Amino acid sequence: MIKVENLSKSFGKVVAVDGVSITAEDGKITGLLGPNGAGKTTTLRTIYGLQKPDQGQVSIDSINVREDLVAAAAKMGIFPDSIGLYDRLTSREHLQFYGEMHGLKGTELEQAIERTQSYFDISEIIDRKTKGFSHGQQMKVALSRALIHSPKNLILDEPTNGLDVMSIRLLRELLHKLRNEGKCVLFSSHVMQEVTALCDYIYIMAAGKVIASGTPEEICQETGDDTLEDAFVTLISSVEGVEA
Amino acid sequence: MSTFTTVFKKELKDSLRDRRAIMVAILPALIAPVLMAFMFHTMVKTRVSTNEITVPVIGQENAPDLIDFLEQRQITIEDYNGIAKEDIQNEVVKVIIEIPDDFEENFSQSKDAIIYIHNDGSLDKSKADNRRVNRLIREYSRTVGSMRLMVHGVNPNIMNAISIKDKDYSTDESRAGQILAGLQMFILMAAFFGSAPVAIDTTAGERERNSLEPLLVHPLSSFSIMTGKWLTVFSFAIGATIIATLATATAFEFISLKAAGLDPKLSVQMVINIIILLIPSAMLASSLQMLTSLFAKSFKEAQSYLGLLVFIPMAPVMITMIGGMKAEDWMFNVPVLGQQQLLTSIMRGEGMNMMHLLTTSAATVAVTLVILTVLVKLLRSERVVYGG
Repeated sequence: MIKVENLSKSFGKVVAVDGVSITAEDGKITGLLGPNGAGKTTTLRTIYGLQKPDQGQVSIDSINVREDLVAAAAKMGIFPDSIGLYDRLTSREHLQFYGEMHGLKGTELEQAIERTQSYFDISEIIDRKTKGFSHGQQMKVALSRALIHSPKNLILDEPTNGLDVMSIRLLRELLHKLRNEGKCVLFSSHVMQEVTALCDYIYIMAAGKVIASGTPEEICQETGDDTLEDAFVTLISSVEGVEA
Repeated sequence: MSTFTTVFKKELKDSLRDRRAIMVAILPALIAPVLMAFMFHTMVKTRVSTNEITVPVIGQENAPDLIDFLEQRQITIEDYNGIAKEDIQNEVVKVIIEIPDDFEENFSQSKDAIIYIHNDGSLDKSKADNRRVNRLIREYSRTVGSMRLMVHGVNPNIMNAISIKDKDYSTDESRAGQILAGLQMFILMAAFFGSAPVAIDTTAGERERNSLEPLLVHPLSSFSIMTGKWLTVFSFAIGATIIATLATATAFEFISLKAAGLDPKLSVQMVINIIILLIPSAMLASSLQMLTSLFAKSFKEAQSYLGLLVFIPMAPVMITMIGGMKAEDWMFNVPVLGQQQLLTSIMRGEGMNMMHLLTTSAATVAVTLVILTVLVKLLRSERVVYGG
C-alpha cells in the first residue's frame, strides 16, 4: 500500500505539488490523471524517494520513504519517467543487473528473468544489446525491469507512452492480473481511455492539487457527466488558469 | 541484500565493452613512452656532439693555424660564401665561423682579433655545435696567449688566478633520472587520462542517457552504488598506470641512451615500487574525476571540465619542477606532488623512502576518502538526479 499525506514541493517560486494526499490500496489499480504539468511526475518521484518533499509524508507498506529509502525501494517496482537503458548491455544483462540489485541470484534470478521476459514477449530481443532498440522495445525492457522482483507495489509513470496497441493490451492484462494477485498498482497518465479501461480508483490532479477522487462512476456522478472524459474536462476547466 | 559488487560487476562489464574508453585508456600509455624515449634519444644526440662535424667558414685563409687546430680536433672545414644570416635562419647550416680580413693583421700584432660565430641560440640542434666550436676557439686562444706570455718571459699561469677541476659524482643512474623527469609526468598522469572516460560514463554519462534515475530507485545504499562505480573507475586508473609503467620499462629495453653515457633501466623491483606508490594517486584521480563529472550536465561538458581539472593536482608538481626545488618534507604531505617526488627518487635508482611513502599515501587516501564521502552524499541528491 502506498500512502501519501499532505505532500508539497516547490521549485523556486513554482509550486509543483501543493498538499496532495493519495492512498493506493493493495489489490487495486489507482490512477493519477491530469494534464501536463499537473504535478503527477513530481508526486511519483517523491513516492520513490528521489525528490525530497518540502512537506508531507510518504510511506510504502508503512515504511517511511525518507527514513529508510532502501527498505522502501525493495518493496517497489518502478517505471520512472526516464527509460535509461545501457547501450552496451543486452536485455538479459539488464534484467540480471536489476534483479541482483533486488537481491535475486542463481536459479531464483534465472526464473525471474524467464517469467519477466514472457510478460511482454521480449524473448526475441533478450540477448541483443539494447543499442538501436525502438522506443517500444526499450519500454518493454524498462517495464520488465520494474517487474523483475515481483514487487508488492508497482509505480508506473506514463507507462503506455509510445507503446503499440498489442503491447498496451499486454500491459493492461498484466496489470489486471497483478491487481487480482493483491498487488498495489499506481500509475500516472494523461490518456483518458487508458485510465477508464484500467483504474479502480482515480485521483485527478491539476495545478499541483488533487481536485477530485473516487471510482470512475463516482467522479461522473459528482460532475453530472456521462463519460469520464466529460467529467475530466468539467473538473479541469473549473480550475483557474489550467487548460484541459 | 546485494552489495557494491553487483554494481562493480555491471559497470566493469559495461566499461570493458566501451571500445572508446579502452582506447583512450591504453593508447596514450602505449604511444607516449615510445615518443618520449625517441625525444630523449635525439636530445642526447644533440647535447653530446662528439662525432665529426662539418663547419662552414668564411675567410679560412685569414687564419690557417686556427683552421689546422680545428681540423685536428674532428672539425671538417668547408669554404663558405653564402649569406650567413639567411642560411642560419632557414636552418640550412647550424654554425658558421667568420674570420674577418683584418684578423691576421690584428692577430699578428697581438691586438684584439675578432672571430664571429653565426648561430641561432634558440635552436637546440645548433647549441651543441656552437658550444663545441666556441670551446675549441677559446682553447686555441688560450694556447696562443700562453705562448706569447712565455715569449715575454712571463709565467702563463699568472693568467689563471683560479683553476677549476670538475669532480662530478653523479652516477649514471642519477643522470639518467634527470632525463627521465619528463617520463614521470607521463606515468603520474596515466591514472587521470586512463580513467577519465569511465569516470564520466559512470556519472555524467549515466545522467545523459537517463539511466541514473532508474538505477537509484533500486534498494541499494548510495554507498554501495558509489563504491561499485568508484572501483570500476579505479580499475581503469590503476590499469592505465601499470600499462604506462610497463610500456616505459619496455621502451628503455629497446632504446639505448648509452651515447650519453646513460643506461636508464626500470628493474622489476622499480616497476613494483612505482605501482605500489601510485595506487593512492590512482584512487584520488578516480574519485576527483567522478566528483567533477557528477556536476556536468553532459558527457561533453564533463570532458572539458576534466581537461582543466588535471592541472589542479599537477600545479604543485610543475611549480616545483620549473622552480628546480629540491625535495622537502612538506612536499610529501601534498597528494600527487609527494608521489612525483618519490617517483623521481625511484627512477634515479635511489629507492623509496618508507616514511615518505607512508606520509604521501596517507595524505592521498585521506583526501580520497573525503571526496568519496561527498560523492556518496551527492548521489541521491536532487541536484545530481534531476539537475535541479
